Amino acid sequence: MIDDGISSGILEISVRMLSGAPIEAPAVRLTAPISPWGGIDPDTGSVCDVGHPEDGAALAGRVVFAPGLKGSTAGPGALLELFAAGRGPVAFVTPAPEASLIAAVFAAALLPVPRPVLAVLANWCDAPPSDVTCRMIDSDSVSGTGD
Amino acid sequence: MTVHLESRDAADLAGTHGGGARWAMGMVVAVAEAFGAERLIDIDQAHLVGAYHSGPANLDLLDRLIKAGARVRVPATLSASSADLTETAPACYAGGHARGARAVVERGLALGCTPALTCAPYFLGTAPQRDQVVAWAESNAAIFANTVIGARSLKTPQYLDLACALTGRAPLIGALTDVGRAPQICVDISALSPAWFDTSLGAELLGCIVGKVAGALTPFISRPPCPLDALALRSVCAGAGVTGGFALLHIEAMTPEAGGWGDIAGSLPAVRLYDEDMQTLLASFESAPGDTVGAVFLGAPHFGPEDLNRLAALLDRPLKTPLFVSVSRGGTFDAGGLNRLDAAGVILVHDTCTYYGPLAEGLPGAPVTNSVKWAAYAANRGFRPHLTSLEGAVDAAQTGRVPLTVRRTQ
Repeated sequence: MIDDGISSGILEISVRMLSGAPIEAPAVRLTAPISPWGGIDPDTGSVCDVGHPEDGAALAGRVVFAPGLKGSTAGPGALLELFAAGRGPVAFVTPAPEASLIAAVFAAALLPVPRPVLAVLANWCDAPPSDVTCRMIDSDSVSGTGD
Repeated sequence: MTVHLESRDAADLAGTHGGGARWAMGMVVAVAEAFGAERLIDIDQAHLVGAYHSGPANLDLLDRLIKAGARVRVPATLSASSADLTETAPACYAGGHARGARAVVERGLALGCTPALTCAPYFLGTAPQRDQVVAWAESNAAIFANTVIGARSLKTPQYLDLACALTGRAPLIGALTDVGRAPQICVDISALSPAWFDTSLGAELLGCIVGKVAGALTPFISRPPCPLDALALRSVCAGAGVTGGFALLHIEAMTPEAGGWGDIAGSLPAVRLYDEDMQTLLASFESAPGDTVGAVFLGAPHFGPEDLNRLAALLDRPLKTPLFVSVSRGGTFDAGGLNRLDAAGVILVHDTCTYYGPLAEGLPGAPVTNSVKWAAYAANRGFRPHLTSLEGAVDAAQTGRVPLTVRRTQ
């Protein structure tokens, strides 16, 4: 079966929105949890975590599909500066809600700072591969239509 | 809205108590809703990780909250700073970053916080009791509070910790609930050689590995090959905080709630750890024996009184390299012990952790540490730290050479 989304270079992905509105942007898929403090380079917005499978991956301007967060509780402070510097992801999609990301977005909301969209993708197998452009669809707005 | 709010919560959310409380309650409720909480819960105290200088946006945020009349409603201690702000600070902390760090602390004071400036608040007299509900941030501290004290805390992320302090409330989720404290994965460590735990190194490595294998799941560490004392449990929590996502862990026969979960632990998915797992992790943080030592860094997390006693007992020879120990300025340290450290040339660093900041930069040799947390975060900054036991680290400072770490196999 031909998937029109893929053949046109854009993968539609149904997510539960936690913050902000659905967007369309290139994806980066991480295969291990990240630590926003100490694990993302504040000067570049790329993963800097020795031993992480995607060490060095650029996150700025991307929809980041992360299987989870780990490590320091100072993550939101690091993310806020990343957002303020314009080096942050445009969206985070995780398999379950992450309090760190909600906290970072709330902090950004009090400032004139761009803040990423937050969404949950419960069926993690649907996460797109890196570099595919993904278009987020709000699953609540299409409820009843099935997958 | 699915979260039940009490009238005082609703008043906060409506802005009755000012913009600061409105922002804070908005975040607490948003987290509660995202996780499907039914209600909020009172907290007795908070420990806030946002005492370090992350940048101008954070200062701007704190200024806006102060201007909006925000004020903590429960006792709130500040965690470690990103600089030593004492008069005895090493000279490298005198620059612009220290001004930023001081500005963050000043804003914390304006919000009503206590400047403990330590990542080890469990050593303070204000530490909670078992079953007390708190909002502690700082991964090692939150995991210690849950795991060793048996208090209840989320691994509260920055800004949510502040929001909880500003409202006196937390979302009733995760480790704050009975079901959220249940173990979800069993990590069997009976195959580990007990010799690993002759020094602090074994507990450091164990915590780091358990964090990796458990991820976000609450681990039940079963069949420990030997008893672990309080400082070893601290090391397990600190190592786990670097690599794990969970807020607490249980260790069979060692931690206060482990006994209550023994029945279900046997039915959990299980992972066995072997000496090879410990050796592999250790090998990722090793310099060659005999390499030149640049400096030795202890106290991540901040050393407590018993740590300092153990250190003092090892200082029987002059030091050839700098030996830095991070401690809290408010710790109740034995004066005789401190004098002994001072006489031996140990450099106490207050308020901050040394894995960030200038102290580890430009060394003439390998940085050596007894802390897997220090090693992991320093490695991410591009350093090549050597991880060893407390005894090995002191030996490295005394000889100026990386010591041989003895392999542990059965």
